[in-house]
Amino acid sequence: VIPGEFDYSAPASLDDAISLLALSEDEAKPLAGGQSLLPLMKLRLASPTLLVDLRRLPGLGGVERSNGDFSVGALTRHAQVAETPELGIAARAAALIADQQVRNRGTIGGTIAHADPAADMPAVLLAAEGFVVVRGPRGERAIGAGDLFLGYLTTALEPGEVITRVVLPALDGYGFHYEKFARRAEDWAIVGVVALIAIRDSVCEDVRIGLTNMGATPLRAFAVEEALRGKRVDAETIARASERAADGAEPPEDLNATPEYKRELAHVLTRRALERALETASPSPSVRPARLHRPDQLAAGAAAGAAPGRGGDGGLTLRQSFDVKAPLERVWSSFVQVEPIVPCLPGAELTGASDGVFHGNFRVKVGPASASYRGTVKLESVDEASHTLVMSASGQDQRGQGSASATITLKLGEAEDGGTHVEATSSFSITGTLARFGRSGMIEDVANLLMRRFAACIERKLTGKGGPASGAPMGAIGLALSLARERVLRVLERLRTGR
Amino acid sequence: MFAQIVGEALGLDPERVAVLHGDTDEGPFGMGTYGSRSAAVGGTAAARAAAKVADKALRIAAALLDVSQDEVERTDGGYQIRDTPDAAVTHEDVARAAYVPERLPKDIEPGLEETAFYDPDDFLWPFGAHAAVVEVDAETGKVTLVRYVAVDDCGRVINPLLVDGQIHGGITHGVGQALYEQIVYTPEGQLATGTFVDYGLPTAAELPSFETDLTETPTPINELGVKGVGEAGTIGCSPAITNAVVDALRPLGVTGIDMPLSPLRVWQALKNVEHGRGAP
Repeated sequence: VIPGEFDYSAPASLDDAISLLALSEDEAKPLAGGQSLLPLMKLRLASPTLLVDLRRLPGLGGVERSNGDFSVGALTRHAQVAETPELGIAARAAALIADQQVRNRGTIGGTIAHADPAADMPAVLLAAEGFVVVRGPRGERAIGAGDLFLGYLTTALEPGEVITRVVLPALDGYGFHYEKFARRAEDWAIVGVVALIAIRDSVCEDVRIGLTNMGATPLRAFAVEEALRGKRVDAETIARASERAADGAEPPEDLNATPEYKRELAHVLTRRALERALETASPSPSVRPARLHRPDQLAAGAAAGAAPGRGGDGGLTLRQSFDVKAPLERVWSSFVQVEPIVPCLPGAELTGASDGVFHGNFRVKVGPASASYRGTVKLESVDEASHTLVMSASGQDQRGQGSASATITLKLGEAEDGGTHVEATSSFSITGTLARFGRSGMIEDVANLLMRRFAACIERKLTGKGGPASGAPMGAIGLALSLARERVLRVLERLRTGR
Repeated sequence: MFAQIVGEALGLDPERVAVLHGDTDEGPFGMGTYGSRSAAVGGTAAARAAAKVADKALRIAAALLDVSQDEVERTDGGYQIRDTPDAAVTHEDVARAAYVPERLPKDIEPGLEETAFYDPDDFLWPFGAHAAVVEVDAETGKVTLVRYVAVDDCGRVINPLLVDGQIHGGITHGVGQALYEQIVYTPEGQLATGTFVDYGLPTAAELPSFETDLTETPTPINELGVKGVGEAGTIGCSPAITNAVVDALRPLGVTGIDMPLSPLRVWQALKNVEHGRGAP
């Protein structure tokens, strides 16, 4: 309930704010409306050492229209967006964010930078194909919505970069609707669907569907769009197309919904949103063709690459595999020694060892949330014959945010190219406030990324190829970029295997 | 409510009665407020203690007026000799005499404080009927409360505003139990509903305007005729809503759903009957 200690600064110029944020990198957070950041700090899921208050900065408010776009100042409150009907879909969605108190404080720039997949505005930006203007230490740039959301609470913003404006195409004549499904009016969406549609002579000239809370990022339902674009639109075509709303999405389970239920909700809500959008569509829209995309990229979300599953003990189990281009015996001997491989785990640090028990720290960070575990790793069993190794790890968060434990089974085998194939099965159990982050597939995302970095580092260590083996704590930006790369790799893999 | 009971017994405006709450050191032993018993049990004890004070005040007033008690009547501001407004004493005169007793006859003990204990002879049974109209979205499983009518009988109504407030609050609590509230632990023992983000309390946005009414059938068990109202809303509400939802889904084959009737549970119940597996 009471946040950790932090410094506070309210600079008078944007350049000063950027300098402050860039200097302290991931230890500093910009403060806009504070409706997401402050609760995270009060739960001690986030503990920035410096808050840079943006609210006194000039020029970050207001809504302007030019060249067919609406440029909305990043500090514009949700309430103001909701009361600006020209903004169409953005106004409709803003009116449904949380409750009036939150809408009076929360900002459009803040909610987009926070990138909670259950928040409403990210899916609007994605469907409208808008972009954000950001200013940072290296000047100003624009980031398109499709490139902005990289993972759970993770965007392409670099340290020190601040969103200054959110630009939304006017989409004149488009019918629009946001169908938000939540248990209570003030709740986050269980699923939300943004529908934008342009109709001429009953034919769909353009359509965009954005999905809220169907993955680690907001998603586009490209399959529905494909099924409607250029077609005659009536209740039946809409109903049929909507059945594909969840194609490619891998929504995580949470307290309110199973993946199956979310997929069904996406289907039903997409149909309803399109029906309502159709009612508001003008007969002569000024169509802005949607950016081209390949249908193969349907699941453009940051879903986990490995197969996550609920283990018999109720904990989370992940199965991963990777290859190391080094001989089996060399890899095996470094694994059984433990010490050589620990520094390869990003954020891990070995502080001591005794009687086969290794002591150390492990720090992990996602968006504004972080955990810093102190604990032990123990070699439970070593089977030379089958090259199978069982390790147990457990730790306590140093800020009292709970504990984590894992049992990791590593099975090594010879790969076809003479290298080593490693199969890892990990059962995690996380307690405390951090465990609630498990709801959105974040743990899978992070675990997969850690494993890939671990594999790459092991390879560098054993073969001397590549960059230095680094065990530095993983910063937000490194994680963000890596998650983006992860997704690209997955898409490539899907193309290759024809899935 | 306590102030009203005591005020009435003493002939005082309720605003002049100070009720000390929340400190078991201040009051005599009592078993607390549970079972909708504050008005019926605590209220009766308060009425009895006040009646003792009133009796003594009348004796003191009679002594001050130098007449027998039979000749004294109570007025708005105190006491007077029957039909003789010129011969009167105020409540303040009586109270002062009780504690500064030079004018008090020797046979009256100084002080104007009384304690009463009360143990009811029998249980009390307030009753009522609650009806809910709900809409169930058969595609998403979402339940919307459209209309809620409650008619309760809590015996004699001491304070209609408080009674209505108790019923409104109780119904809201019942809506929470029926549709939203649940403590969830993960299999590892982690509390997953540790904040009001995850533990859903209904808000005004989820509720229709309740339609409430009262019938008034005093109980013979206590002299106030009150039966209690604290739980009336909660007790009637959860089954009214649950039965309304099941009634709506009965044609589809659903015969029961466990509370809270979350969209997921209702949707799953519908899926189950669709697949011929019957209700959970």
